[in-house]
Amino acid sequence: MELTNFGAILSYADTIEQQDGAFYEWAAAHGSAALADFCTKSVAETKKFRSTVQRVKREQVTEMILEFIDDFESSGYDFAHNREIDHDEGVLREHLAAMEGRAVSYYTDAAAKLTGLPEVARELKRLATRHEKRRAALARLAP
Amino acid sequence: MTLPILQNFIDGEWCESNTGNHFEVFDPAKGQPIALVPDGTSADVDAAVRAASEAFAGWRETPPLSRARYLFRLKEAFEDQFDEIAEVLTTEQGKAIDEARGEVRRMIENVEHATGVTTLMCGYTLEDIAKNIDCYGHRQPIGVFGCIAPYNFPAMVPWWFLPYALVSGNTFILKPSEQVPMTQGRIFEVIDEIGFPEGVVNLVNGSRDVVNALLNHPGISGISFVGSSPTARYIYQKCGETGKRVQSLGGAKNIVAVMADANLEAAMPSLLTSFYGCAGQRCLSGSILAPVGDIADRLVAQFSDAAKTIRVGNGLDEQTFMGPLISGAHRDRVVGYIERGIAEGAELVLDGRDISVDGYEDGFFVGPTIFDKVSPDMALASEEIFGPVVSIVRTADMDEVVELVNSRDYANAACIYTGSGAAAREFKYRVLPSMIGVNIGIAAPMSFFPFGGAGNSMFGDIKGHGQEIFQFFTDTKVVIERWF
Repeated sequence: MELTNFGAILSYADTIEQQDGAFYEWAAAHGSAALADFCTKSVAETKKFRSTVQRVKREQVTEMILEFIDDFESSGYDFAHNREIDHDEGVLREHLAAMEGRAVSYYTDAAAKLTGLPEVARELKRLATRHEKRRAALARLAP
Repeated sequence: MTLPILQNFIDGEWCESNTGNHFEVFDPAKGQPIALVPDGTSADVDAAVRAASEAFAGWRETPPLSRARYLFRLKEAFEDQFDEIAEVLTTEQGKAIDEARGEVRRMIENVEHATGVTTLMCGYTLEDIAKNIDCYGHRQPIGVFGCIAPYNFPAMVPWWFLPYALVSGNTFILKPSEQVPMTQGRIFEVIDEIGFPEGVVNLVNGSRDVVNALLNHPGISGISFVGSSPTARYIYQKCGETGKRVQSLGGAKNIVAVMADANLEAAMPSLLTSFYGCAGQRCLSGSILAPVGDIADRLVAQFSDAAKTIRVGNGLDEQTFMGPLISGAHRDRVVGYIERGIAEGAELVLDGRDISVDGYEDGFFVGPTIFDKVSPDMALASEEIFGPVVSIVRTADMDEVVELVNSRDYANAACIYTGSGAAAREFKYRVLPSMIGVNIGIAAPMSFFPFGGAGNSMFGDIKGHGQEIFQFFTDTKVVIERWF
């Protein structure tokens, strides 16, 4: 899907958080105690991220389109959530890290596309940072 | 398929209209009816005025901060229902979903601004205007106000008035456009949930009979109207006859001047939005694009290249930039202007008449259209088209473009694109319209500034929202006081 405007970009961000939250819920039931704890906290955190995305989408929209967005497609950020890897926690952790990497890339790139809306760009960069921190926390969980 | 029939909201209850006649409400992207709205009667209006009049005494005694608290709750409820309201709006009006979301945002901003009542409604005092005599002015609510709303902004426009009327202590009757009544129907469901006292805020559906009943009813103290200029003038005259306060906002023929030193690349997105946003159905839409000097050929080439990239479709599709027009009749009217432009000798650069949108073959679409070499006396340059038709009138210099702006029948908005502060200042100083954009294509005042034009674009003196709106909804009672 082409992401050509504010609404499309924020809607896709909402989709990312919704998908990732659901995957963390699944992963919480399939990892070690430490990973399960991390995933449970991530579910709650993802709800907050989603709430932030939805608030930004509501509050920062204008009825005037101030800039056009080119060369931005969701296909570059699609992620296949693999629910068949629970037998190997190391692989699951790497999968989660890749999932976080997708979010970091998306928010970073989306922020760069919305420079005409600095408040929105700031929130997206903030979300990129939060996902980056989560990716780093995942790395620290490695045995 | 049986279509749902919309109801009125009077005295805190949903109720049937007294009429047996109904209009179809269309989904303009599909060209199909989706609901029936009653063609209300004077009896409906009378019931609403009775309820609003009875509610007035209690509501005006409610402390302003308590009245504002209803609005705080309303704002929260609107945030919760934000996407649903936007989707209903796009479904019946056609505009792109992001435009609908933006409109709902603007609606909420008026609620937010109105909560400043404890500052904005304050009166003023002066001691010792004579020996031992003080004077002060209270702002008092007046009674029942009515609003007659247009089809192009079904959520936002009534809320340029409604929250200010209520928070000032008045009661209110809204008549939405019969072409787009579902959005306010959804909004009034939220109002119902909030639980305003019965009769404080009322919704009456209908068309001409309801309008005339509102204008003639002795129980109504004032009218806020937004629509076409002929109707705005009629409403202004009728309110004069019946002794009502009135703010009556009409149509437009807005000119966007582009000076030779304008940064076209930076300007292009907002230029496109100005002319094609909401399919040109805004009273602030650009209608005439006026290159000034030797930028004309370059502007026409770049603007038409950009216009060709506009994606036309169902507004509910997130990828759509421009949705359909409001109705089949309006589409035919806009196409009629295109044909008239050809007949009058303007040069058709981009023709939107034969657009076909996959899956929406019955929708009321007209694609982006551009005429070059339009002369000021052509219908394209003098009449309000209210569609995605751009008329390029080439001008030689500042004097000519100012004359072009000031010789239109309307004086709503005007915009200038330039890199020169001096040119911008001269333009905004000399042109008659009272909403001006400098390197902005839609000169839309936000809720805390007044919205309204001049000349035939506005009848009355106090405009929509802004600080001044509290003057419209209150009477300043002056007390001159001495104690022995």
